[in-house]
Amino acid sequence: MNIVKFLYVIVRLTTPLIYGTLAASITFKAGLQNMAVESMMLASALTGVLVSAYTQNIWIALLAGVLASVLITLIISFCAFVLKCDLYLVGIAMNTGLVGATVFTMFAFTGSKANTASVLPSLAVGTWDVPILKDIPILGDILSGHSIFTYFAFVAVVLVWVLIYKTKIGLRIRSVGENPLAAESVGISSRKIYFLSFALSGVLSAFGGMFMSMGYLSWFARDMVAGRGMIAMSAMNIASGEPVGSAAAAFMFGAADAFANQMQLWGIPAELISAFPYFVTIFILFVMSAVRKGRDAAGKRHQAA
Amino acid sequence: MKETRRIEFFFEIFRIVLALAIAFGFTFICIAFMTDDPLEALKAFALGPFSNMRRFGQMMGKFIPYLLVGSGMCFIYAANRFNMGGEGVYLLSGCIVTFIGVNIGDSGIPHVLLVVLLMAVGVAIGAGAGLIPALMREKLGVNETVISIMLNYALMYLSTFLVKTLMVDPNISYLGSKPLPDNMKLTRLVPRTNIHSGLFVGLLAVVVVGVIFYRTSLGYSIRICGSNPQFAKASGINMTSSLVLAQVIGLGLCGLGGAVDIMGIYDRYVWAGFTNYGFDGMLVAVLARKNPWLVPLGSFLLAYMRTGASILNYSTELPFEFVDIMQAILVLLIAGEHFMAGFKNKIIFSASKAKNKKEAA
Amino acid sequence: MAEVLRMQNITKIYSNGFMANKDVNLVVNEGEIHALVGENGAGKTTLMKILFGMEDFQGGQILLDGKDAHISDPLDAIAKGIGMVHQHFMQVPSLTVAENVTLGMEPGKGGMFDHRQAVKMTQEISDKYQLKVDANARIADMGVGLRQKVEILKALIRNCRILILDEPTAVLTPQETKELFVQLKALRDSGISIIFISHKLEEVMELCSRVTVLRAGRTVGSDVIENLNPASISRMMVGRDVVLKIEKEAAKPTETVLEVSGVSRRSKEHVTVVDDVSFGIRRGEIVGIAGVEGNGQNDVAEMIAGMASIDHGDIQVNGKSIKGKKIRQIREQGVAYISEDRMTHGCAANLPIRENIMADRVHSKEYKKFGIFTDTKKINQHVEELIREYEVSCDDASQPVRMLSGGNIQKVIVAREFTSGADLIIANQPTRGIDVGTTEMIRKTLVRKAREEGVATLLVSSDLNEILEVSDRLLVMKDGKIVAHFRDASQVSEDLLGEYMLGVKAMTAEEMGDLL
Repeated sequence: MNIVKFLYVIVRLTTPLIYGTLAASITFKAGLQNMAVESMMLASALTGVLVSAYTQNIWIALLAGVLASVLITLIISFCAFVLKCDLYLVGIAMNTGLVGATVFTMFAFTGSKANTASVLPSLAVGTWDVPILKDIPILGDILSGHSIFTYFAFVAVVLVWVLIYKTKIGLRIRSVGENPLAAESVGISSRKIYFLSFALSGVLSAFGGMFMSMGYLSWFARDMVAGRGMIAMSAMNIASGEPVGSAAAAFMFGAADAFANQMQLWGIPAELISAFPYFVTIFILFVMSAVRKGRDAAGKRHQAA
Repeated sequence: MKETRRIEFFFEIFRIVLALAIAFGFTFICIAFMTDDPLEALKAFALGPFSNMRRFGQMMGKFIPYLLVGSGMCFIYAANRFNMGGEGVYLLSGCIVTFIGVNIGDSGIPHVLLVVLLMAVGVAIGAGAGLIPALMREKLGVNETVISIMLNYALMYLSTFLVKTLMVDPNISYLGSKPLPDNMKLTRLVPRTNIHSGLFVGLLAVVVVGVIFYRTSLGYSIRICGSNPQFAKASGINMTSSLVLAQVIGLGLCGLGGAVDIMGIYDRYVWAGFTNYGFDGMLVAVLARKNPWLVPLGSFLLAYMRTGASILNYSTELPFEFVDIMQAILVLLIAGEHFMAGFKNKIIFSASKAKNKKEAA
Repeated sequence: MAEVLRMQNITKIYSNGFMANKDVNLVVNEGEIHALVGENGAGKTTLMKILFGMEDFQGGQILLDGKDAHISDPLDAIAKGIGMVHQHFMQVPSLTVAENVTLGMEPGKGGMFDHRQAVKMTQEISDKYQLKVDANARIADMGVGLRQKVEILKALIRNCRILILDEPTAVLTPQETKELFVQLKALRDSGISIIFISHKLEEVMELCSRVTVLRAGRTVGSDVIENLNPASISRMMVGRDVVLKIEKEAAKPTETVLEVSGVSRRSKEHVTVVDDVSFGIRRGEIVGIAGVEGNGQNDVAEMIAGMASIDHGDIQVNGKSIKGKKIRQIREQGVAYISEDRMTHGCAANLPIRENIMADRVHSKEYKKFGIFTDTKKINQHVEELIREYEVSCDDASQPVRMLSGGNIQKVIVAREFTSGADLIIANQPTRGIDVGTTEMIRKTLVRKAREEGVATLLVSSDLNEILEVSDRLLVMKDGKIVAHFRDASQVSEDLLGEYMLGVKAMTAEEMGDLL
């Protein structure tokens, strides 16, 4: 097994997870249970592909993808905070609904229900051979030549961190998340903050979704997000919503995905490989929560003593 | 006060009808845009399922599994533990049932015994798989929805793998299992349609679930835990066992749904991806407002919608995925407590004012 | 001295008909510390909520500096110079002092939060008013006394001229209280008027220049401190306008059912809320715990019910300890609990009356047929009987509880708890906010249960009528300790009770005698 190639693949596969986990962490900080990252990613993935094909302009396509994702968040926010639907249920409904909705829209525009590959001349965002870095042995092979989305993902981690911890909006989001009464007592509207944090989450998810359909491939396929939104959410939970920690946790899951890829070379049947990352996610969550439970119990015993 | 209750009752119906109207309205807009003859299309959608026996049978073919997954998801919804593993469980159950059926179906085992055995297998698979997210939530505090969705994908791929390796039919052009022996197929109640004896199983399941919900202490406990966990604890209810059982039974029924579906209308196992029956079950539970006795109504409504969409797809090329969108709209509007709540409260308020005026006069 | 605030003839009636304030008058002068005292339910909190724009009112007016002021919401109140330090701090624990204080008016350009500027602003205010805090410290790492200073700074940085403090010393140590007083006096001297809500009469005497007393929603009196003493304030605060006597025979208590020995408990903030409490209750008697809310009685009730943990000491029911046991086990030992917050712990609002009543007994063999199915006939009989007996006004047993009035919801809860076969019933504020008819019924039933069925009862209540008329024996708690024990509650006058409740007097161990 080529370790260097393996690490390169990990970085590539973790990209959408990083966006997803950042998206989830913003809403987490606002105190919300955001299950709907999948739906946001699907919406932007399809929109980017469609718009880039029709306008042949990558920038407009990116913008359209972001707008599509934010629109989804507006629907979610409306249903959850105005109609008072259980946020959980809204997330689940949107995730499933969007799978069908994207297929439907794809069909409406292309006549295909499986994917847009042969039908649309969609654009892809290119890769970048980073100058200087690309010539460094080993490190260069791992980190250079990735999609621009990947590099932007790292930038996004920094941006989200700055947003949450260094801006006024971030301060308000954290206040509403921890103690909505405290925020309301100084005139901050919790509802407005909820809408805003979902919208920001949508922006980040959009890049994750568009990476899938415009970064590595240049087409949209049915249900192409395939649970990555959920996996990203798990990474966020492991790191308790901290943006940097969540991104780090995302790598763990990306590694599982990359390992699955590797297994292809060992002749393991394709379906088992596909199933592997999901089994691994369950396992990782099991281990981490068992460890946490053990630590809490030990802490309690220590306290009582 | 009976007045308030009557108003609330009619309002629930009004809300559901309004939500349906909005969902159907959306459909009509899609139809208008994407077909040449919108009125014909609408006719096909609305009346299609009743136009002939075969189509009616198609609708019943969906109705039957909906009874099972719908009543199963009532447990999930009532317990407030969104274990969505129904999708994966449906597939795996169908797959294992196919495997067993193909291997022992022609070995001389009596039909009834085989059918009952396979159904039991379906339940067991569902229950066993459902246990994983349930235990991880109750014992470790892990989000059961995430685990259940991971499980769905895992079981889906696993099922495809099992079909490919254990029972694939090399003589056909698409992916499918060897043909199912007649011995394991459920009797057709109306020949050459999809109306099969699984209907009795479905109706029986609804009755069993209704009885469990309202006539057993387990049902009481599950509903109380879902309604107010703090009260449940203060009353001394064993929350862990109630909630785990709710999820296990719920998913067991989803597994049964998969088994009954395979035995009912298929000649071989051909599922290559999610069937959507898992989430459909959730919608049925939402339409039925967590009340098992209303599951047949919800199941019928959903079966009708999906069949209409399928017919529409056949005659106009409109993809039936628009039903997924309709479904999402319905769930969001119906489960949204405040949907029309302001209007409802106004009516209740003015009714009580009128009553006070009358009594004062 | 100029008048800075005048609340005149304020009347507030809630939508359920409850009159929280009736013709209340409050006048605060510039640069004075004005005490607003009254029992729980007297209307002080409502009055302050009205002043702070959190509630509307039906009658009267508010004048600020002699001019009519229409205060629409808390932001408006803040803009008009009114600041409020709530009893439960409105702070974000993981943020720093500077972040909490400047929240909502954060300094910084271009959307970025300038933390250094925020620290500077906070430090300025802190120095100006001598409220020493470290602006960079995290709230979560700070003790209660410091956190309170932060709450005050939040008000000061918004230029408040009238500062309302709601029971500020409830969570402070004696040392912190001394410090707070020094600061409040300094604030007063710098021209800020302070409204000091408290039950602690010693503090009121020390700190305040004028006192207004509320009782049952009305202003009972207002005077300068020189003309008052704790006893006279206590007499104004504690009293019943209407005495509702309950007919009852003398209690004939037998074996001990409940034994509380040396029980102590600390709150989350490490304040001792229950301090070495010991007492007992026997079959057939009703023991009441009187006291101003927040002096530990609620914690004692919750510890016996299993809702709160016991840090030190032991509690035994029927001779068996309940320490560390689950609620289910405690109930099985014979304990029933009418909880203070009925909607959270007392019922499942969306479920029918039947399910709410059966919640604790649906598992028992008595209501089962063939071991698995519930005996519907028996259950319906049982529920309907209870609905009749407790006069629950409803359509039928299938009606969801949320559709009932507050009083009827409590009847359902009481019906369940009273028929759970318990040897010990804990009633925690059982008739708060309930209509007169239901209140009378619940009190009579409490007495009946004790006399006819020999149930031991613990009654925790801030309603004087209730505690004096229903209890056989009476305990008074203050600051987590038992400070009085009356063997015959009917012999206790309101004045005397008030003095113990407010800490004017306290019994010695000898005077209290055997508490078991």
